Amino acid sequence: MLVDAAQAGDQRALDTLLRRHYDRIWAVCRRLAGNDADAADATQEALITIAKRLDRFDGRAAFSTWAYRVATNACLDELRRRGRRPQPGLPELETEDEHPAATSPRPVGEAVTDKLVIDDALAQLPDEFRAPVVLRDLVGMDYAEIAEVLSIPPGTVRSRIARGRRSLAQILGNHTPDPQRQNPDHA
Amino acid sequence: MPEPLSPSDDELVSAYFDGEASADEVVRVEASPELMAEVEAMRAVASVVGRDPDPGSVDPARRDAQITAALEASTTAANVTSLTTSRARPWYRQPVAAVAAVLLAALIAVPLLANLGNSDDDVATSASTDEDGADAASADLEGGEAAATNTQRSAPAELDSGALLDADDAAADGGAGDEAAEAPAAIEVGDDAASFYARLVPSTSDNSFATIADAVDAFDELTGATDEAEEGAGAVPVDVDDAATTAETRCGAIFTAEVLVAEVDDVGKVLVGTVGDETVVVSVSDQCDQLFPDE
Repeated sequence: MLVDAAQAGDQRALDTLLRRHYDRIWAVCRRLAGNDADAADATQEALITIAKRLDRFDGRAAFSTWAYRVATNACLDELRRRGRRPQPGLPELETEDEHPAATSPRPVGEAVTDKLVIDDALAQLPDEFRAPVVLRDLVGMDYAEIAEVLSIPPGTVRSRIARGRRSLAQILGNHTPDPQRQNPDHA
Repeated sequence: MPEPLSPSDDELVSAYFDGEASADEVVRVEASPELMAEVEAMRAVASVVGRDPDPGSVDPARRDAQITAALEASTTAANVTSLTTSRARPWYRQPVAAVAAVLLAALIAVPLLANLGNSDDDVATSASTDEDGADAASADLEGGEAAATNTQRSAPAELDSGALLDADDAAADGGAGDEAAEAPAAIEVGDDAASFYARLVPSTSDNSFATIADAVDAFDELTGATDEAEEGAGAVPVDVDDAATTAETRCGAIFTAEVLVAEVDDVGKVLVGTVGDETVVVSVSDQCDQLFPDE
């Protein structure tokens, strides 16, 4: 088994393992970071962390689950180390306990196929909402896993995912690209 | 115009979509056409987020470089288990050299004593004394390491991690590790991990930290350690995540001296502090997995 070989010190096996999961790890970091430059640094940290902690993988979960969990933590911490602070939040999302007057989201139109539109929408979510949504919808973690990764109660995971999605729906449904806003990748 | 969903309905719909709703909640959602319509809206949003970012944005050269860097890091980590094991051992810590030194001392002592006209019993006693003296000298050279002697380990705060014997090293050095396990001079009756550790390193103020990250920073300041320096010394670099995970999940409690006795030599540099009501132990050697295997 590839993982066993990598754990035993087989560098070729580890290389194969990392290549196999690279794209998804990159995707997680890309969604969490919001731009290519930060995502690249976070991905590097994630890969190093996975390689160095491989001996701790005990096979109780799928390797991919474990790897994405490690990668997510590495990405989030790398972003924290870089001093990234939550983007200015949506007014209705700034406090956890103040539920906004909920409105039904508009249909998510074709515009959201635009990469920049998705990035823009996700960037408008504060980290505490973006991370659980990404972990759920991109990585496919269940609430318990997300709770573990983010060190928050499962009930909070549930509410943050719901509110994050609701806000995304509103953003995407109403999206009008801001001509003044430059994507860091293209600045 | 449909009524907006309440926040609780939002959560209900979201949880249903994720397969995380309770049986009662499932019944409630499926009985409501409005809520089921919201499930579809939720699905549209989730599919957008779940779409992989542009695969074309992955630079193959960067991918190769990053994977190469990770492979190199894994090699470094695999070769190093702790500061103590990674540091070059002085000659007196080499098993063969230690035995040779004792034999040499005996060889010198026997003719010397014979020339002085001592009896065989005297020779045996002197040889034994010299051997003990060699051990004691080695212990002194090792910065007060008491594993090979019955001497109380004095002023542990003055020790650096290099002075801590690795358990395997100690065993190879003539069973000293067994003695350390049976009579660890540094451990006192009623001792616990926190107080023991606290004597190994100088205190920084009261060792109270707001966060584990602060504790790690203090540790780095205490040891003068930078990731680069630690790597140069062969140590596994302390990174905040790792230390936090270790401290929270494995070293967050006060453990009894008995637990430490067997494994103390694998610990390496540590810092003890408190975060809130918890005692945290930050270890540069990252050996908590071995120290507390059942955690």
